[in-house]
Amino acid sequence: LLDIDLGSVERGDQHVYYLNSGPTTGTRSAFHALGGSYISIENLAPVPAVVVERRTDLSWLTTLYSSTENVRISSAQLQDVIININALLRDKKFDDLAFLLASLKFDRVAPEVLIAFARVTYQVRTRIGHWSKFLSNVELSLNSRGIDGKKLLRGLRTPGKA
Amino acid sequence: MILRRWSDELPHDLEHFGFALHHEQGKHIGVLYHLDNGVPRFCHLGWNWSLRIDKPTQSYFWGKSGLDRYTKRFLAAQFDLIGRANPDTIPYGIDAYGKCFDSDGNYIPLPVGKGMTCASFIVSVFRSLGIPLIDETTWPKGRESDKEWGHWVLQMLRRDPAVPITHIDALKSDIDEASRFRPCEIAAALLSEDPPVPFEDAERLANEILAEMA
Repeated sequence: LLDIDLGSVERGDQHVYYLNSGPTTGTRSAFHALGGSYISIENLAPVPAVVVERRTDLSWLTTLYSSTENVRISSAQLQDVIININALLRDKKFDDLAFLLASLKFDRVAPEVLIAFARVTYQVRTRIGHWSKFLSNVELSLNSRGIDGKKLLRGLRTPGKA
Repeated sequence: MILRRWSDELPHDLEHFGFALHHEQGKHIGVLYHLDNGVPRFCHLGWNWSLRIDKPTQSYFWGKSGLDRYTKRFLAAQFDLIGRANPDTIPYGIDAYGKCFDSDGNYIPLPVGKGMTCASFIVSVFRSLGIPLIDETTWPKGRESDKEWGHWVLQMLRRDPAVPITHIDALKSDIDEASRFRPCEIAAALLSEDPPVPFEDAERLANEILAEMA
């Protein structure tokens, strides 16, 4: 799930996010586990998709993605991330959060964003599907950049222990 | 020097997040941070229902957090949001009684009599983010000087007409029973690269800090 390409279409009152290309079997399974289904886009073969209600606007996520390896983020952008996650938590949209965490392009966002996602959702981790898998992906992404992921994620694996 | 006296200029090596400790026996602590504009800010629980974001003053010594730079940038952003969202919601008290912030960073109303100090506010926020700053199980209860401090808190709360009498009455029993996290001990923990910090280590470094500030 480290780098999946998402597309989206409008269908009635819903946003449908779907996997754009080359999903692996594991990715398909993960989508399915998140409540995803399969849809056909432009008469092509059915692809895994997740339906999100229109009022859940996740477009802010794409503004975080960098096209370069030098991923940076401003403090204001980082606070926007926290505010947007909090809005989903406040509305108890745990399924949307699970979808968001599963579809995140880990290597195209700043390390601070990954930390924000992990730490802000920590208290409700048991209500977010595949949260442990998400945490593993964060660690992998950080490690691949030469950052000690285990150290940055201290305290998140086992409650009360760093 | 473990800590440095605050001057009006933002130190180049703060790296977004640290803390400021009052020079008089380390009696007060808050987090010191800056966002991208480089303006230093001091977020601290000043008193009952008074979480403030101020400009640090020369009455304080400061230190930088021992955590990694990515986490420190996140903490700066998060404390700034919490400070702005909860200016008048957090009661002052001796025992913070477990979980105090929800996943939104909003204060969860505590039972009557429970509340936070300047130091336990920092511990509580860290805890809510999955960063155990100190090993709370190792903290002693009912140290003699903490009991004196507890009675002083009680006296001060009684003088404040805005504080409900029910809160003050319920708080009395915590003077003997609760663990107090002293500001200088939390300063010591914040310096650590490898939390949670056990009491013994925090106390040792706290004594060194106090000796230097004297």
